Amino acid sequence: MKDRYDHENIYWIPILIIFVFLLPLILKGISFSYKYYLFVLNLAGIYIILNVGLDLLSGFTGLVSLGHAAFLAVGAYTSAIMVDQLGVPFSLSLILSPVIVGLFGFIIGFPALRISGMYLGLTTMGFGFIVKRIIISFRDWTQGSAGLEVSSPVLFGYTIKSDLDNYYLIYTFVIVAIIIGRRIATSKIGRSFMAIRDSEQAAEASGINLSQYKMLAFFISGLFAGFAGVLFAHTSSFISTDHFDILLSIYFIIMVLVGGASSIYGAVLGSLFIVLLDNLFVPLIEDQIQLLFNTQAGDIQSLIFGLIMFLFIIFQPMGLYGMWLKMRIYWKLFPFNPRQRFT
Amino acid sequence: MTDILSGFGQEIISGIALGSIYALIALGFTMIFKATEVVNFAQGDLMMVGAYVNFFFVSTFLSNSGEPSAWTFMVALLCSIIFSVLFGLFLDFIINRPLKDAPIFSVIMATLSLAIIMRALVAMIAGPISLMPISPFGDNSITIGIIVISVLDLSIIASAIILVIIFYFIFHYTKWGIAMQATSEDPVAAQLMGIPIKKIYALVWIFSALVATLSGVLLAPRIALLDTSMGFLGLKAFPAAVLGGFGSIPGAIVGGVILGVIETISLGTLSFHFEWIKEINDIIAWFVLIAVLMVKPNGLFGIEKVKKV
Amino acid sequence: MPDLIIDNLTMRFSGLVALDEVSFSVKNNEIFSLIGPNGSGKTTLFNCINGFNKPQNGKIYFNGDNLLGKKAHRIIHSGISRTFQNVQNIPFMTILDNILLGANSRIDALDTLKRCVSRDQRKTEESMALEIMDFLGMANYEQKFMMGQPFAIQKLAEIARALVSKPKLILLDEPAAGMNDQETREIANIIRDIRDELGVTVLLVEHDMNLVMSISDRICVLESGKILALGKPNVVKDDPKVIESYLGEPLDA
Repeated sequence: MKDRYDHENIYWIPILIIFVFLLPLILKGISFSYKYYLFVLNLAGIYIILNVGLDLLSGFTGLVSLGHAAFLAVGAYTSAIMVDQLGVPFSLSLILSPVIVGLFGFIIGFPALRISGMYLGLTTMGFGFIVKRIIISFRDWTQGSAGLEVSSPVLFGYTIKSDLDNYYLIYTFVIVAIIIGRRIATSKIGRSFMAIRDSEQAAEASGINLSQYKMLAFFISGLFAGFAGVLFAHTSSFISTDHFDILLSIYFIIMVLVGGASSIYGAVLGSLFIVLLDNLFVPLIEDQIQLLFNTQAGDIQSLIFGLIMFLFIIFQPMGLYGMWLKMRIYWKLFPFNPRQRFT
Repeated sequence: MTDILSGFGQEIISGIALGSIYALIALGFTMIFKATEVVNFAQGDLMMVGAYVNFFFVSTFLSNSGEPSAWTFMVALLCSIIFSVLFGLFLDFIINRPLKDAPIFSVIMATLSLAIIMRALVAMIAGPISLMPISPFGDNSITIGIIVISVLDLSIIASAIILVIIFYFIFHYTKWGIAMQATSEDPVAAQLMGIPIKKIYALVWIFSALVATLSGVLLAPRIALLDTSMGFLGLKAFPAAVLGGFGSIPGAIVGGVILGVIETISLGTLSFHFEWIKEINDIIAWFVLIAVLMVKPNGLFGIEKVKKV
Repeated sequence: MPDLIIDNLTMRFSGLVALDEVSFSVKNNEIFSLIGPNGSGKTTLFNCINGFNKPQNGKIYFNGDNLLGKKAHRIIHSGISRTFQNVQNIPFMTILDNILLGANSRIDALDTLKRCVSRDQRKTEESMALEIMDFLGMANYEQKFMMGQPFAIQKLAEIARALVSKPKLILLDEPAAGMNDQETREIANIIRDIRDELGVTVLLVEHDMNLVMSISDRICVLESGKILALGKPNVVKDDPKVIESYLGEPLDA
């Protein structure tokens, strides 16, 4: 007899993990420009790690962060400085930097104890600008706005250099991040986060210390962003403050929202969708449009970006993951076209 | 001593001019926020679109008549106003109506994506080069006592004051203005009183597009080079609006002026005397914002909403 | 031995006196009802016990603990949980997760860490909620989302959320509001079961007189922050002051 608790179907997870690890080999077999694909996938992987954390903060807890690129920047610069200038081994930096970013999250999260809603969004946006400025002004360590060369990661005596190595490094952490994210989301912490978002009174009456949990949300989100930052710095070998623009923060929120806020799989789908769209699909049609209108490439990219985002919010507010859930229910009950979604 | 004083005086005047622009942008989204609880992140880009449209009209008329005259600017302004009214109506149609019941998070994102779309579209249509808008007042300046003030700054301040007075009268003494106030206070009650709130919402968006266009027209000659990054200036109006307490129209105006003055002084006198101020010049608005919010979470003039259990 | 002692409690909201020197005590294992017209201070009293409001004067003791010094989120650790007048549920969580929210005080940090490593912890947590759901007869609702559920189910889920923390005292704020006769009778049975089978003391605010009269051990009538009457249901029912308050001035010539 099926156990009463076993509603989570987990058999496809190992299959998916195997697929993730075989994917580079498949790509190598079918395409000449597989290196570019790997580069894009690596970027997507880093964003997945960050967005899982961002989803826990903004999607679950409802604390909108419009400055998450700052988290990524702090992680990247911390690790770059620690490894290259202080001589800390990469494996240690991989543990230390996320914790430092998590503590940095406390600073950004501190106003959240008093401020809520869009005020918080603006405050985090402000922190985004401020962090960028501060990084530039620490010229001795960060070389200002000129950018910083970063060494390749060295793990257990092995230097990780090629895109393929980076892919395996990043996606190991992606899988760990998704699993931990899922676990957090379905544990006491995840429930408390959602309670804080939807009813602070019910949360408090259930014994949730609001300020403690809000800070925890920022800390956890910082941890994820810190991991993403470390991986970003060492796999892209060059970082500058231009990488961590306010627009990037907005793109992160867009990824979470397109995927479907407050679901970890949604954050994953959203990151993959946007990054692949941005780097694979847009270049395809860009040439055509450029011939027609004689414009800059970046403009078309952001136009398409904005349009997709806009249409998603209007027509598919539950995001990609919500779309998938609806489709699944639809097929399960196929002949009797179901109208209801949540009952 | 007089040097410092006159420099300081000039900075305050030009700070007020810059602040009036912030105040106008802040006024635009405060109106929308009050009426519909939507935070319009696209307000800065609305301003940018307004500036571009006005530039387009001015240069079209100039190429027809050749000689710039007061009429050219007046007619161009009128055309821009008509455009902004239509544009506001369009925005109400694509943002406000479909997202009436959506969570606030989605609406913020919708306006953000709209900002991205507008910026991209303007860049595509106008091309990548920066434009040089012509000021109707030239580079003239007048001297009062020891203070030299550019006519442009004066015109900005004067237009802002006139606009605010006009809006004040519309809000407080016309039927539609009072209906708007009622709607922002309590939409359901307003609807029950027979106020057509759909029309009111459309009107609010039209007004805010109008204010945005006017502030764009005023600001464009001041920043000398017109390109799409003008939209980012709109972001700076957020600290202004928050400073005054989001949702309070006098607050938005006071906040905008305060912020403008702080920015100009830190850029001028303070940077001259303290080296490190230079580093934080462009983010001083955000410092002020965070500092104010930490002390008063609802802004300087904000009212705390009490939630019932 | 009284369980909950409210002593001389006064609460003012900037001039408005919501509670005026209210004193009473609730005995262990009792169903104690608070009734009174709207605005008489019933919910304010709940909020004071619960830590949401800080009264200016007076004391609240529960099993010898002083509750007034405690923050709202610590109250549940003293064994007091509550429901709300307008239901406070989390729409995008399943009913099971909503109920588990109440079990927070029973899950410590170590358990949460364990959850990150093993799936068994989740099962242990779920069994806490399922126990209560079986008790309330809503077992087959576990995997449904709270959003779009009928009002009665939402109210029931809220009671379950309050019960899953294994409280000694439960504060029910208008559990039967908005329910039909059938559902009200079910709620009455559930409240009796909560007291009889779980041994939880019940403090009830309710407007439905039939419900209050049929299940309460004692009733306290509040009017504009003052106690009008206190005693057994049949005594309170016949109290002239209560009748006057509920039916208006007596019609004597």
